[in-house]
Amino acid sequence: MADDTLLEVQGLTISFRGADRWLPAVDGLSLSLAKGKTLGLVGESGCGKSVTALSLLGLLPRNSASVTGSIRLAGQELSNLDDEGWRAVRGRRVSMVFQDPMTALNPLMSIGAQLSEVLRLHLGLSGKAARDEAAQWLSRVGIPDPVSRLANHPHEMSGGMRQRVLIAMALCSRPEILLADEPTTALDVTIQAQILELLADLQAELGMAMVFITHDLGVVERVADDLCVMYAGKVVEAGTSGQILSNPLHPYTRGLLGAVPGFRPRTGRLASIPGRVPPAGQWPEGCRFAPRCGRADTACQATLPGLAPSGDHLCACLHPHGGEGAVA
Amino acid sequence: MSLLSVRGLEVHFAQKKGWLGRTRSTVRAVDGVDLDLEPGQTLGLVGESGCGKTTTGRAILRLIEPKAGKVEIDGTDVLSLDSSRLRAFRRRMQIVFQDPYSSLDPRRTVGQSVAEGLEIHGIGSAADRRDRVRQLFDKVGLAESHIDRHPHEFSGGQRQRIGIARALAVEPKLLVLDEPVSALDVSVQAQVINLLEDIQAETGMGYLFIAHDMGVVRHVSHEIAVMYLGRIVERGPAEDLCRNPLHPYTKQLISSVPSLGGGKGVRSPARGELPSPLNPPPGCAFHPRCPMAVAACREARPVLNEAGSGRQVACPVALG
Repeated sequence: MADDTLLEVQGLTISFRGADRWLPAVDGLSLSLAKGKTLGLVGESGCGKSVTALSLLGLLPRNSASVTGSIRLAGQELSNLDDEGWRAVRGRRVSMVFQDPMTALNPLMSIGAQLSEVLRLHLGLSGKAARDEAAQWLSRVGIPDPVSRLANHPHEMSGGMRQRVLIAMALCSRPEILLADEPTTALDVTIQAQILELLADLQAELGMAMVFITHDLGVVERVADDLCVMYAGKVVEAGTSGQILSNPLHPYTRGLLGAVPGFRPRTGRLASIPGRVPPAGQWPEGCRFAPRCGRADTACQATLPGLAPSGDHLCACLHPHGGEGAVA
Repeated sequence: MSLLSVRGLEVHFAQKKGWLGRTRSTVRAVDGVDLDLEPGQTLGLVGESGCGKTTTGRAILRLIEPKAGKVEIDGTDVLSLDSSRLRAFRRRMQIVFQDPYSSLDPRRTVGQSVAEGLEIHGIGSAADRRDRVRQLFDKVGLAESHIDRHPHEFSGGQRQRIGIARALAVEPKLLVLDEPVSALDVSVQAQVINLLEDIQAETGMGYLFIAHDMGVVRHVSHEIAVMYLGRIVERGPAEDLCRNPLHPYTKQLISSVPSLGGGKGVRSPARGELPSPLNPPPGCAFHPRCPMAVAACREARPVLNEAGSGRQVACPVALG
C-alpha cells in the first residue's frame, strides 16, 4: 500500500434480502483512493455504484443488507464499526452529496438552520458562531447575498442553488473524503458546468479526496484521476482516467464509449450494445457481460474473469481489446 | 410544401399570486415561436428546463391550447379545427413522451395500449388490428410474446419502444418526440436513437425532437432551433450551428457539454441561472448572463435575423 492511500476497499460484497433469497448487488469490489485525488465510479443503472457509496458511509440497513469485505480509512477498519462508531465517521470524515437536490433537504427547515445543525453536530458551533460560519459557507459555494439566504427555505431556491447548499453542508465539516453520487445529473448543462467547477475548486482548497459516481463518461473525464468501470456488481476495468478513455480494453467500456452521441460530427449510426444490464438476481453464469458481447465465446459463458493486468491497466475479460487506441 | 409550419406561437399561463390568489399575472411560456420542418427531416428543439420547449411541442399538437399564432401541419390549419375534426386529425400527429414509466396505462396490456389509436380512429377489423400490432412490435424490436404483458414487466428501454409503437400505429406524418431518450441508460439510449432513425428512413415521417442534451440533438437533427425563456434565439442547419454557434447562449450551451476527449479540468463557460419566466429581464432575456451584452441589450428585445446560409440568430451584437 502506498503511503498516500486514504481509502482501501477490498472484497466488498453487498447483498439484499429478497423474498426467498439474498440478491447480490456488489460482488467482491476492490478499490483504493489516494489523498486529494478523485476516483470516478462509472456504470449504468443497477451496476452497484450507489450501493457501494452507501456502504462506505455505513448507511445500508443492517437487517436487510449484508455487507462483507474490508473498508479501511487511513488505516482504520470501518466494516466492523457499530452505530456509534459510524457516527464519528459519517458526515465528519466521509461526507456525501446526493443526486437529487430537491429531496435531500428538509423542506420545513430554513437553509441556515440545516447548515447550523451540521456545524453544531460536527464542530460544536452554536448561536452566532454557527450562523456566521454557515453564511461563510454559502458564500464559499457561490450563493450571492448569503446572510439573507440563510432564512430561505429549500422551495425558494433553484435546483442549482440547492445543490450548492448540499455541497456546503457536506463540506463544512472538512471531511477527508467526499462521496458525490451523480451530483449534477438532475441539473441543466450550464448549471452542471458551474457545479463541477465549484467542486474542483473546493477540492483543491480543502485537499479532500473524492469518489465521483456517474453514468456520464464526459463528466467523469473532467473530474477523475482514476476510474473504475462497473458492470453488474463487478469492476470490469480499472486504471487512470487517461489509460481507460484513450485505450479502453473491456468490450463493455468500448461499447459505452461508442454509444455516447458525442459532440462530434454526425457519423451515422451509434454503436449500441444489444440487450440491457441484467437486474440483480438474474446475473448470468460466467462473464456477466457475455450475453451482450460481440467477442464472447463458450469460455466466457463458463468463467467469470477477475481483474488482471492487461496492457497498461486492469481489465476483467478473457478477450480484451488491445492496442486499437481510442474509440472512433 | 413543408410538413410543419409554426408562426408566432404563444402560450400563456395564468399565475395566481397574492392574498387568496386574487392578483393574477401571466407567464409567457412560449412567446412568439416560429418553426419549420420538412417531411423526412428532424428538427431539434433544444434548451434548458423551463425554456418552454415541451410546452411548444404540446401546443403544436393542441394538447395545450395556444393563446395566439398559426400552426400548419401538412397543409391543415390545426388551430382552426373544431373538436371533432381535431380528433380525426390526431392520426396525422403523434407524440412520444419522456417518461416511459408513466405514459402507459398500467392496467392494460401493452398490446391494448398500442391498438388504442387504431380503435379510436376505427382503423381495420379486430383481426386486422391484431395483425398491425404484431407488425408494430416486430418493427420496434419487441417479441410477439410481449403483446399480452403489462407495462410493469418491461424495462425502461422496452417501454419506450412500446411508446414508439403506440405513436406509429396510426401512421402519423409528424411525430413529436419529447425527451424520448433522456430517462434511458446510455447503451439503451443508442438503441432507441438508432431505431428512430431507421423508422424515419422507412416512413419519411418528420420528427420534432425536443431535448436538453446537445450531443443527442446534434446526432439526430437536420435543423436545430435553440430556445431560451420562451423564444427561439438561434436556428439553422444542425452541423453548421454546432460547429459555429452564433448566439452567446448557444455558445455557452455547447461549450458546457463535457464532451469526451477534453481531459481533466473544468472551467465553466456559463455564469448564473435561467431567470424566472414570471419576471423576465427587460430587453434581451439572456443579457444578465451574457458576456457580450451592451447597453442596448437591456432595452430592445432582439428578433431573429438572417445570418446567411439558412441561419437565423436573435442577437444584434453577434451579427455585428
